[in-house]
Amino acid sequence: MKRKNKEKKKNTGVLWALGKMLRDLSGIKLWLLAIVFCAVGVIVCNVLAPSFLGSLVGEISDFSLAQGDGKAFLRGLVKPTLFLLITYVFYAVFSFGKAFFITNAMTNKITAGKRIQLSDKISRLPLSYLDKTTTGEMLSRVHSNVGMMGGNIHETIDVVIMGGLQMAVMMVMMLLENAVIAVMVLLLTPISAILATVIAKKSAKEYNKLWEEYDAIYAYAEETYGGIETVKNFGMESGRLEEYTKISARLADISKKANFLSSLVQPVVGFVNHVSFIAVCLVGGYLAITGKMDVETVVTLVLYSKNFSQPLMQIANGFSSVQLLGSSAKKVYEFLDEREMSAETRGFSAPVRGEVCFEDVEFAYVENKPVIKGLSLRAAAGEKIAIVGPTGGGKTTLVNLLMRFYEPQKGKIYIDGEDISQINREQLRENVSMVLQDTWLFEGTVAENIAYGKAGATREDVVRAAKAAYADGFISLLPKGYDTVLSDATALSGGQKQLLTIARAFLSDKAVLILDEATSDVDTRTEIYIQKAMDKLQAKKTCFVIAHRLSTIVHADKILAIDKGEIVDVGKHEDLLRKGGFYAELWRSQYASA
Amino acid sequence: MREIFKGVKKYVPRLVVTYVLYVLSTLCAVALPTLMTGVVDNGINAGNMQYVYKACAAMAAVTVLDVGLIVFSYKLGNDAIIGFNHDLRVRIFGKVLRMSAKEVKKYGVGGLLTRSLDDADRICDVVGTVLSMMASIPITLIAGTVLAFRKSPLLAGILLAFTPIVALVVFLCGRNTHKHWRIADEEIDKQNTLISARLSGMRVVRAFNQEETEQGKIERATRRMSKSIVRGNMRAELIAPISMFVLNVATVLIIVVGAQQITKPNTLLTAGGVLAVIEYVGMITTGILDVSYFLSEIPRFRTKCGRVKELLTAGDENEGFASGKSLQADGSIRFENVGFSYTGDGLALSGVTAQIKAGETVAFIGGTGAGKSTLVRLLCGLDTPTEGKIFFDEEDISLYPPVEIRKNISCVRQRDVVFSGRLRSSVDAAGTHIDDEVLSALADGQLQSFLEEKEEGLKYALGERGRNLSGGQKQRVCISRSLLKDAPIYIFDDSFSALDFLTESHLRAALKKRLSGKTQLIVTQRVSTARSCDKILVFDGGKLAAVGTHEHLVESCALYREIHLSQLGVGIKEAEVEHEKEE
Repeated sequence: MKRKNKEKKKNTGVLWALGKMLRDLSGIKLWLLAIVFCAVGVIVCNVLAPSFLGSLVGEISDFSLAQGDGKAFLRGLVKPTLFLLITYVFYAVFSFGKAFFITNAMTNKITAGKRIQLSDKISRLPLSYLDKTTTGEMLSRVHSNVGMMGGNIHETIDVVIMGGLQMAVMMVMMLLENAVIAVMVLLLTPISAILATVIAKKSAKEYNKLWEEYDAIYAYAEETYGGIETVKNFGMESGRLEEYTKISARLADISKKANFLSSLVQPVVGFVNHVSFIAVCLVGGYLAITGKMDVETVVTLVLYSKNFSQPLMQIANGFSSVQLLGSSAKKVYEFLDEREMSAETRGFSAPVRGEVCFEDVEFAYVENKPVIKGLSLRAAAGEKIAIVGPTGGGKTTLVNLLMRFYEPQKGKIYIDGEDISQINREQLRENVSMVLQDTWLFEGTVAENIAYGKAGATREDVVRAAKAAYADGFISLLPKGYDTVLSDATALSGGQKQLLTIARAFLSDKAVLILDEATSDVDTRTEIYIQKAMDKLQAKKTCFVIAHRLSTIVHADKILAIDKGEIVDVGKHEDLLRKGGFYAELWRSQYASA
Repeated sequence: MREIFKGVKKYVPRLVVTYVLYVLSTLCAVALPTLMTGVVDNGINAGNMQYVYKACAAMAAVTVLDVGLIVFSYKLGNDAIIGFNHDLRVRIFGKVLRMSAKEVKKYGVGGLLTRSLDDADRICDVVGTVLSMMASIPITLIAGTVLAFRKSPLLAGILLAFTPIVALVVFLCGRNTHKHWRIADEEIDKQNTLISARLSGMRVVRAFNQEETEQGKIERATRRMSKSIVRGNMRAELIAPISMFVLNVATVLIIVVGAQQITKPNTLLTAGGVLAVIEYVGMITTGILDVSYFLSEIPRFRTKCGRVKELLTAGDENEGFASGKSLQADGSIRFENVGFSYTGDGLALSGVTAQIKAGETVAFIGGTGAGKSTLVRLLCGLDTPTEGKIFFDEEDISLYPPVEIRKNISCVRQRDVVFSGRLRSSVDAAGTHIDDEVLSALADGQLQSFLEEKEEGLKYALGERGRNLSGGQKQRVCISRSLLKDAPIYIFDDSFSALDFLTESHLRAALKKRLSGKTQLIVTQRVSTARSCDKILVFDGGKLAAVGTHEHLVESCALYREIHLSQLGVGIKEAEVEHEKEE
C-alpha cells in the first residue's frame, strides 16, 4: 500500500513514537512509581549481595591464609551471612513486585489499552482513509503491532530502568572501591554503546520493512479466508497458495535479516565486556601482587566487573526487544496520529422535517475523476424521490454524500435549509435511515440485529418491524426464532438478509429514508408487500429509492435518471415516458418483453 | 505436536550444527570462570604474575572464539527457525484452503488469522528460545555440577538437594494456567472478527450511529483478554523470584558449610575452591532459571500448539474419495430426491427431483428463501446433500471430491468476492489464460466500456473486495470471471440483480452466443429472464413446486402466475388482492 503523504510529516521516528508512549504512560504514574521503586529495590539488592558475598569470601580467604581461631572465624561470619540472607529475601520480594506491577500496568495500559484506543480511532477516521487501507492492515495494526509493543515492553523496561540504574550504582560502588579499575571498566562501555547504535540503525530499517510485509500477509490471508467459497469455486487454491508462499518467503527473508542484525548486539557487547574483565584481572592481579591493594578488594572488584557485565549483557540481550518495541510503537502511533474527521458539535436547530437539497455538488473518489458533476436537486419534505440509471452512474455516491460518509469537493447539501457539513455527523444520521444493497448483519441474535438502530426497542417493536418487512415468516421458522444467533455459519439467503435490514430501517423511525437497491435480492411478490408497508411508513417521510426494477418506483413523486454523474431526466413516470428520453428507453428495455 | 513439527526434518542438519556451535560456545562460557578462579588462586593469592598473564591470554583467546561461535550459530539457528516458521505458515494456509468452506466459516476469519499468523509466530519464537537454551542448559547444568563436585562433593550436594524444591515451585505455579491462555486467545480471535466485521459494515455502523456499540464489544473482549493474560502471567512471574530465592539460600548454605569445612584440619578445600563453587552455583542457577522460564512458557505454548494443531488435523474436503477419478461431465444434471438441512433440524430443501439435459438453459425461480441458492451450494460442492443424490452425466457426485465437482461448474454467486489485485488477475482467477481470452470474457461480461475508460486497462488495480467498483461493476467482474472458466455447467445465482435491464439484455445476448451448447442455470427473480429459458424450475418453501416452460407454467402453476403478474406494471393490484386473501 503506497500512501505517500505529500504534507510534510515531522513526526514519524521511532524516538517520537517512544516519546509518545512515555507520555501515555504518564497516565499511570502510581504504577510506574511502584515499578521504579521495586526496580531500585532489586538493584540495591543486586549491589549489596555481591558485596556481602565478597566480604564472606574475603573472610574465608583470610582465614585460609592465616589459619587462626576457627570458632571466632565462624562467629564472625554470622553477621554477613544474615545480611546476605535478608538481601536475598528482599531481592525475591522486589523482583516479584516489579514483575507484578509491570505485567498489570502494561497489559492493561498497552496491550489492552492501545488496542481499545486503536479500534476507537477507526471510528473517527473518514471512510476515504479506510478505503485505502485493507482490513488485514488494520488487524495487523490493532493486533500484531500492539501485541509486539505489549510483549516487548517488559524487557525494555528491564533494559532501560534496570540495566541503566544498575550500571550507575555499580559504577559508583566501583569508584568508591578503586578509581583506577573503575575508570578502566567505564572506558570500555562507550565502545559497546557505539557498536550497538550502529547495529541498531541498520536493523531499524529492516524492522520497518518487516511490518509492511506483515501488513501484506495479513491482508492477503484475510481476503482469502473471507472469500473462501469464491476461491474454491474458481479453483484458485493453488494460485492463492503460491502467492501466499511468495509473501511469506519475503516476510521470512526480511525477518532473517532484521533478527540477525539485532542479535549481533549481544555477542559484540559480550566481547567488549570480556575484554574489560580481562583487563580488570590483569591490573587487579598486578596491584594485589605488588601489594598495592589487598586481595579482598581485588576479588570484590573482579566480582563487580563481572556483575557490571550483567546489566550490559541484559541491555544487549533485550536489545531486539527495544527495537521491536520502537518499530511497532512507531506503527501504532503513526496510525493514532492520522487525521480524523472533523467533529462538528452543532445539531439541527429544529426537529427535522426532511427537506433535502443538493446544490451544485461535485465529488470524486479519486482526484480528477469526478463521479458526480455539478448536481443539484431538491426534495420537499415527505416527497418520494426515485433515482435510476446505469450501474456506476453515481447513484450510491449521492447516498454516501447525504450520509456524510464522504464530503463533496464542491457544492453544498442542505437538510431543512441547514448545511449538513456544519452539522454533527451523529445528529445528521439520527435523522436519516438507510438500507443498503450490501446487507450487513453482525454476530448476534436476529432481534439484536433488527434493533440495531434503536436502543431500548422492545420485543414487540422488533416483531412489528419484522412483520412490516415480511421477515417474521422466515424468522419464526429459524431454530430459535428471534433469538437465533446469526453467524457466518447461519445460512440466510440474500433476500432474507435484505428483509432483516429493511426491518432494521423500519424500526429506526427517521425523517429521511434511503433505500439503495434495498430489495434487489427479494422476490418480486414479497417486494410488493414490502412496498405497501413502506408506503404506509413513508407517508410523512422524505424517501430516496434507488432501484433497478422500475416497476417499484412508478409511483414516485419525482424520478431522477442519473448517468455519468449528471441528472439526465427528471419528472414523474408518465411525463417521462411521454417525453421519450433516457428514462423511457430504460423502461422499454425492461418491459418490452414482459 | 507431531503435526506441527512435521516439516522440521529438513532443518535438522542445520540445527545440529547450530547445536554443536552452541555447545562449543557454552563450553567457552564455562571455561571463563575456571580461568578466573585460577587468576585469583594461583595468580593473585600466590603472587604469581606470570600465571596471571597466562590465564588472561587464555581468557582472551576463549573470548574471541566465543564471539565467532555465537555469531555463526545465531545465523544458522535463526535462519532455520524462520525457515520453519515460513513452512508452518504456508502449511496452515494450504490446509485452510483444503478445508471445507463450512469448516472455514466455523473458525471465522478472525480465528483463522490469529492461528495462521500470530500463533505460528509464537510457536516458532518459543521453539527458537528453547533450542538455544537446550544447548546451553544441559551443559551449564552438567558442567557446573561436575566441576562443583570436583571441587567439593559436599558443597555441590547441597545445591543438588535444593533442585527438587525449584521443580515443585515450577510445577505449582504452572498448574492450571493454560485455561487463562486459552481464554486470552479466544478473546483475541473475537477482537479480530469484530474489527473485520465492523470494517466491512462501516457504512451501516455509521448510518445507525452504532460506532460506540461496536467499540463497546471490542472493548469488552479486550478487557477479558487482558484479565486472562494478567492471571496467566502472574502465576508464571512467581516462578523466577521464588526459584532464585531457593537457589540463593542454597548459596548461603554452601558458604556457611564451606567456611566450616575450611576450619577443619586436613581440609582439601581452599578459599579459591569455595569461590569457584559459588561461581558454579551461579552458573547452575542461571541454568535452572532458564529451565524454569521454559517450563513456565509451556501452558501458553501448549494452548497455541493446540490451536494450530486443530487446524492442521482438520478434515480435508477432498480426501476420502476413490482416488484418481476425475469427473468430466457433459453438462447434464439429475436431482434425485435431494434434501438439505443447515442445522440438522428442519430441511432448507427437500424432495427435489428433476432432470436437466446437457446444453439446456434452465431458470430457478421462487420466493426469498425458497431453497434456490441452497441448491446452488450443493451443485458447487460447498455442501453435501443431507438426503438424496445429485448426478452429473449420470455420475453420483457424492463419490467425487468437491474439487472434481467444481471443475464442472462455473458459478457466479449472489455476493461473490472480487479479490484485490489487477483487473486481469481478478478475472483470470486460475491464471491460465492469455490476454485475448481475458479481453473477450470482459467484453462478453459487459465490461468493455469500463475497460476503455481505464488507462491502465487490464492492469487496473481493484481494491479489497472490489470496493472501488460499483455494485453492478462488481457483478460484471464476477460474471466475466466465470465466463473465462471453461466448464460444462454455468450457474448465475441472482447475479444480474445489480445490473440495469439494458446491461442485462446485452449480457444475455452475449451469454447466448458464448455459452451455446453449455448447460446454464439461472437463478433469478425476474420472469423476463426466466421466460426465455428452455425450462423453468419453480421453488417454494424448500420444495420444487413446478417444472415447465413459461407458457406452460403460466397456465398450470398458480405461484408462477402470481410472480409473473407481480412483475407486470399492471399486475401489482392483482397481487395485492391475492395477498390480502392470504391474510
